[in-house]
Amino acid sequence: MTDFKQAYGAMFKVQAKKMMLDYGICALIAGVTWLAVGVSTHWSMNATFIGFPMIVFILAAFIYKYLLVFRSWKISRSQTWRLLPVKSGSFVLANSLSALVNYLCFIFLALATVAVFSIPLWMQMSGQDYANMFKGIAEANRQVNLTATLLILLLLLMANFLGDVYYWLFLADSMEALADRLPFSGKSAKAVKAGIFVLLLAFFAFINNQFANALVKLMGGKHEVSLFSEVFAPASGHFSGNDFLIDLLLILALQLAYVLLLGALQWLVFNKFTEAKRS
Amino acid sequence: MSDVLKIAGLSYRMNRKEILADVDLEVAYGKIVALVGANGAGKTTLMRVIAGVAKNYQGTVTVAGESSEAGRKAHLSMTDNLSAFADGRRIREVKSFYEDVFADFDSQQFDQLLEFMNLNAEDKLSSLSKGMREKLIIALAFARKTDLYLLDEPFNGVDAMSRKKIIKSLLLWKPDEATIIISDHVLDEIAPVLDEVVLLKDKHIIKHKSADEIREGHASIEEWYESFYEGEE
Amino acid sequence: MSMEFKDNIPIYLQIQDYLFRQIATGKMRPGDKLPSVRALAVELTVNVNTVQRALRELSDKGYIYTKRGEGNFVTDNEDLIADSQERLVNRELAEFVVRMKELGIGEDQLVAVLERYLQEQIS
Repeated sequence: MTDFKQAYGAMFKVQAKKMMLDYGICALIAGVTWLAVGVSTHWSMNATFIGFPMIVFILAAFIYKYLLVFRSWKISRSQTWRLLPVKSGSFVLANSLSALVNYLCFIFLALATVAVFSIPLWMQMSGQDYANMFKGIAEANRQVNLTATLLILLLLLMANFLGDVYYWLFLADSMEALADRLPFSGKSAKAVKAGIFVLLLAFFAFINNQFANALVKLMGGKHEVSLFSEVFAPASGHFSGNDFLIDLLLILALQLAYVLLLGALQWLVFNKFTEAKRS
Repeated sequence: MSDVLKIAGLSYRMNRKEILADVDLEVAYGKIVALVGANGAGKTTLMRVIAGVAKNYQGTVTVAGESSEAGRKAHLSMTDNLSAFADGRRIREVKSFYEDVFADFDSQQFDQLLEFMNLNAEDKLSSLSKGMREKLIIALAFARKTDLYLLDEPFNGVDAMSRKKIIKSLLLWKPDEATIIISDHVLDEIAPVLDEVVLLKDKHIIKHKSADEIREGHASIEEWYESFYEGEE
Repeated sequence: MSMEFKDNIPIYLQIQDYLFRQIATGKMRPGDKLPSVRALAVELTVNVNTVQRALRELSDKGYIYTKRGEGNFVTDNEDLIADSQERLVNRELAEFVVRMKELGIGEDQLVAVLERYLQEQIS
């Protein structure tokens, strides 16, 4: 038997190799941007030379998330991987977690790179500038616990990512499962699959939307959640101390419950219906 | 010893079409068995169901006493289409992957098999001819020490020399108690090594005979096989 | 030792027959060690089970014997081997008679035809 650790290890290795390449490309583009803007603005303290690389990385992180989802999907359909004597639950968990950890590594590398790019800024700041900065941070910390906030935001990011992985895999697997039951093969099958995909996408987004709105109302908020959103918008607007943290924790708890639900659904479809591709 | 493979009442549908209907099969340990049938008869589907990579079937499948999918997979080795590996990957990377994920993978045996097949661990997958690729797939399958080997059309499009190598490797590396099931729609070269023949036709197994029994009836295995398709063209 | 097998006769019988001939004609001497079952199987490109069955039959008839842990050996029984030579000769003769009959040469003419043929070969 192949256990969870072995499956995870193998999947992580495969995803990591590609991650380094993808990061490398991003770093190159961001680096070129940084140089170009930095040189042309003479490394001015309005920090546009950090801004542009940051935009590159933010875009990349967004694209990269979906790239990871796609690669996870490929793994779940590959005959090589599906021949492993791994229980369905371990397989799905290993697949999604290895994607998540790779995502976090990418984010970490991006942040580290931006920090390095910020060096010209650090070098230009005077003692007074640093003092002001620390004062500002301390002030904010008095309003709301920064460490806790950052931690919760990190967990929200991770939950959001996992939610996306399960959401899209569940969508794709459901599409395949439905298509397998219809009497179409060959070229017409592709058209049918595309049609089912769009229908399912609309359907799931609608459910998502209803769900999110219900929760928003539950939390006493007034804003409607926009269509196709998979992340819950902060329900309330207040920023005062503990209330803010509690709201954040509530959102995190809801998001985690959502992830668990989607994960369970994805596991069900994967276990019962998803076949390995023939070729 | 009980059977290494036991299938009862297996039915499988895809796109509203029945591919397998009420298939029953029992195969003992230690045999080399050919699964024959025309193109599209469902041989690959049957193997995929046994290996647990096809779902949505009715009936029971048991390998070495295990019915669960993961349990069956742990007792069988099926020819891998190498879908997980990009063309640029080298054979040693594929070997490394197998070492990581299969507890029953024997690295030394794999190296021996590679040498026997005249393949090099540094070769890139993209540089392999069809015959070389098939030999690699067999090497990977037989480097695993297990009970049931499923070889899905291992000779398709493979040159004669490679076919001979593959057959010799089966004889050299098959563990005594293990069973090999080879699917093919042509029989010439593997006929002499077969213990039994299983014929899949019209969605189920219409014949399961020992090779000796067939020959005792003064028919070659090929003649016997072709006799079931008389009148069809 | 390589063979082309007829696919419409059980292969174990053909292997059995082949080994029988090897012993009867003296190509395998009394007490000679046979190759291992697996080596024979690979050499002939046949199933290990098939080789085992052939060897079992030969062993039952006494042409070979098994020494535990050492392998299979040709029998030392000179009488049995002489007997097998005789059997082979008779088999060839029987086939010869049948084939000659097919060509229109009956048993009564057989000896004369054969003598004439052998005379011609000498000259």
